[in-house]
Amino acid sequence: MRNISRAALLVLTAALAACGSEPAAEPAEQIVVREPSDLAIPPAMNESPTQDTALAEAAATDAVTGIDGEAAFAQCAVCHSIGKGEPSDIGPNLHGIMGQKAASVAGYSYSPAIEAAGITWTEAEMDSFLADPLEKIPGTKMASGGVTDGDERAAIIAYMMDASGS
Amino acid sequence: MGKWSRRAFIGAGVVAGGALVVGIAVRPGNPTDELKPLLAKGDGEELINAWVKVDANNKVTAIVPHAEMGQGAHSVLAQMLADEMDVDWEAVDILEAPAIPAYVGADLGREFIAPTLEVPKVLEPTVQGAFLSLANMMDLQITGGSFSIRGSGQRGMRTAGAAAREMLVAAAAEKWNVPAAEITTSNSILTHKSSGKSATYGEFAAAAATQDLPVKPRRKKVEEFTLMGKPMPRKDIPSKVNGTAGFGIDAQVEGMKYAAVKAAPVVGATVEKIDASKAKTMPGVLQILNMGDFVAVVADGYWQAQKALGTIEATYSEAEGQNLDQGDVFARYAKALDEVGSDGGDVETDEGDAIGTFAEASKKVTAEYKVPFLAHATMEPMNCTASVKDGRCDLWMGTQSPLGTRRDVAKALGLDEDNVSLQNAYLGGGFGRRASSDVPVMAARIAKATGYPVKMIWSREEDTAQDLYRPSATSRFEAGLDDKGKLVSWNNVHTHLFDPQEAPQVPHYAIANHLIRKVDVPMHLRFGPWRSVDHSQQAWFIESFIDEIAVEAGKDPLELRRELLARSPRHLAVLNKAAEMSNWGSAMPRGHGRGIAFVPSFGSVVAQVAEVDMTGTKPRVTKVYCCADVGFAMNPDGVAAQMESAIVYGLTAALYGEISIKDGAVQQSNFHDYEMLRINEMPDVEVTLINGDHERLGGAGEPGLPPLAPAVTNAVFAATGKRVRELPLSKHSFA
Ligand code: HEC
Repeated sequence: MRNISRAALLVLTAALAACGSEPAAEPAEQIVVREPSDLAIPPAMNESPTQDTALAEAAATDAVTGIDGEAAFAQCAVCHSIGKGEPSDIGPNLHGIMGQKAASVAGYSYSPAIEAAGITWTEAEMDSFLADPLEKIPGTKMASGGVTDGDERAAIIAYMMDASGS
Repeated sequence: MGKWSRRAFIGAGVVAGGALVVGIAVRPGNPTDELKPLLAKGDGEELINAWVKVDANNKVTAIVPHAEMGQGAHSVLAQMLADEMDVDWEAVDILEAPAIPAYVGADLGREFIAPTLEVPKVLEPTVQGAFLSLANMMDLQITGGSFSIRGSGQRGMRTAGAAAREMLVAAAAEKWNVPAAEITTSNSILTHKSSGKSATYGEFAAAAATQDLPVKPRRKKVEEFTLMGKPMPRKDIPSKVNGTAGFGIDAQVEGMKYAAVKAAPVVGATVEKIDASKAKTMPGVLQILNMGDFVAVVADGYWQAQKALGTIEATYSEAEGQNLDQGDVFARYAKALDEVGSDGGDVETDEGDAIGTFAEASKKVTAEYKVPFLAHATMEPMNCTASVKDGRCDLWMGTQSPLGTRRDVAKALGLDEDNVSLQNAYLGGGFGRRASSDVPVMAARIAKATGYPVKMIWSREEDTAQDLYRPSATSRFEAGLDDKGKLVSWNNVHTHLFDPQEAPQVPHYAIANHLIRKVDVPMHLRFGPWRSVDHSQQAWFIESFIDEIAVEAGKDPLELRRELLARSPRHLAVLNKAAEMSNWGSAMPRGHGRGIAFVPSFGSVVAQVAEVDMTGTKPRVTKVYCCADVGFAMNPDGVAAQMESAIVYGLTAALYGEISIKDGAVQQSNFHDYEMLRINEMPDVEVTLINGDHERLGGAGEPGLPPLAPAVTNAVFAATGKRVRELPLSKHSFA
């Protein structure tokens, strides 16, 4: 972060007379954090959540099914955080989701469909949801294709419980 | 597709079509010398005329004046040129035409073509005429209106190819000292049989360039075609399959950074204040900009820019449209339509006495239909790469309207148009969305503020919520049948939000008394052309209502259409063919139905029959039969592909397409709530082509779309007895 504090600089252009429908070409406010010539943040800090990195960090493999729940959860992590207190992303934070009522994560803006679904996340409910989210809750905005392999679903559910410390 | 060298590109200034061509046609003297340095780069390459280039190695480059957005225009335009020129198809390369401000001379063109903006008939078959007619399009310079093949191809490429061939022949005749008429051409080879002389085009390229443009080159007759009318494989496909094709989003410019943007959710609002305290600390972030109408984050990488943008809290000004909800939209239409009643509004067509005959009709049919706003959802996200420095702006993108873009960007930056240049790449879908210049103007403004090149990419959320939408509309009809069940009166009034209106408001059916009106309804959203433009709404209204009339008159929907088209043999042939393909009238299983629709548009005639299976919880379109007459299918495979793609696009809209408004902002954001047709929902499609008039070609990109929705909803009626009067189908329950 050092280069940011060094170069952080605020430029305010008084140009915009904030009326009229024609947008002015010039910015109303221009915050220059850093010049391109300054050292960039090392790529390791790039937060792009790729499956590769998530998979690389994958932990032990489920002894029964041979499927690594954490690795399988990587496909969900594209949209969901699961760590305690982590902010919701495209989808809600899933910490402690098992056993909860659906659509109960505070501060997350759910689709009307899931709010009206009246589901409690038992293992069976979760299993059928993950198998085909749109079939289970028509109109949900979870635009994910569904996990067809039952063992993989079980591994994901187990991981979600695990990661929530339950 | 070939590429302009950087030098040529900068020198050329801008990219666009007919411009260059007009230069040749209009300028006194032969401007070849001036154009040569801009176009020819390799050794021995000589410019013959603006639409074709031949190098000493016998490589022929077709310079096509249109954008390639998947519709196949590049390849088919080259095919037309190559046929007229007798070129070896394997040795043909394609390059998109650049525009050179000095030659664009919209004024120059206008001088010649004003005031009619129509090319005199006598000039049409000539090189001059071809180039001038292109100049008509120049103010727009748009790839749209299903114009490329029937306009630029038919009048331009073919004439240019024929002219180039004659210039090569003339050059050889001069050198060999034989009469030009004795020289034959084929596969890029000139032959003089009696003297046994022969040479490649390449050998005479230089000499040909010094020949005068023939005044009236002879174009081939249909019987002489060797490539036209054949399903030649498209030249752009291999690169699209192996991933080497270059789209706008692939632009790489030295020193380029990335921008992510978010506009005020309600069009017309401005960004009053931003809290970027978190964004400032995030990795890769270079600049955070409040541009007044949108917020931008510039970063080393696109994802970094997008992530940082997501943390910015913005407050927006009040805006006129901020209280509008979807219900209000249709309420507003209803109010406007109520006000104009049965005879008010702007009259578009008025023949006979529709009101009088309706009053006396023995049977009256009335109906009201509604269609929603639609987004374009191009596969390639909206993007533009811009560099603004030293008083000039360079743009890299895929656009349907290079000239319009150049003009609008120049205006926004306060630059001369000459100082804005544009390099056009393939478009990953256009559908009309890339005919507007809102996106490049934003990119140019950001690049100007940063001082370094910036590639701006819209997120899918931004694309869905900030599109230039296909207008929604309400249309009301009254029809009267006489005591013999004949349709004698037709009175229609519809809402209207966006100009220019594309669907000519003349019913394509013979109805003695008809009155068609529109009423303008102001709306704060931004609108744009959407594949087939107004036909996408009007055709559904008209073809649904005709079906309702048939039911009321106790007639088969096909029969009624036949009666109304009795005096249009070309139309009738298409309708009958589609019916025959579908085995119209044969029995269908319970819960299944068949619907027909017929729509002429963009100079072409298309009829479709859809079959639906209504036994499940939602409509399932199982089969679409399509008969199309585009005049003459220059590449039948290409035309069939356009029909198929219009059916996918049209079916997506008919089943799911709906953009709705809440508190003035668009509610949809991505593909989960603006759904696309899935592969398992794709009906089996059968296309038959009729070549009905090889002189007057029609378009192919759009005409396949309008009949699809009404064919489907008419089929739903046939299966269930339920008449759908509002799209999309997903709004209705058929359980
Ligand atoms: C493309 C993004 C995306 C992916 C991938 C995704 N989800 Fe979701 N998920 C969402 C969204 C968005 C919601 C909110 C649904 C709504 O509001 O209708 C959601 C909701 C949920 C819910 C309900 C939460 C609640 O509060 O009731 C669960 C459980 C869930 N997702 C689990 C998963 C799992 C497990 C995976 C991986 C197999 C996954 N999701 C993959 C986006 C995604």
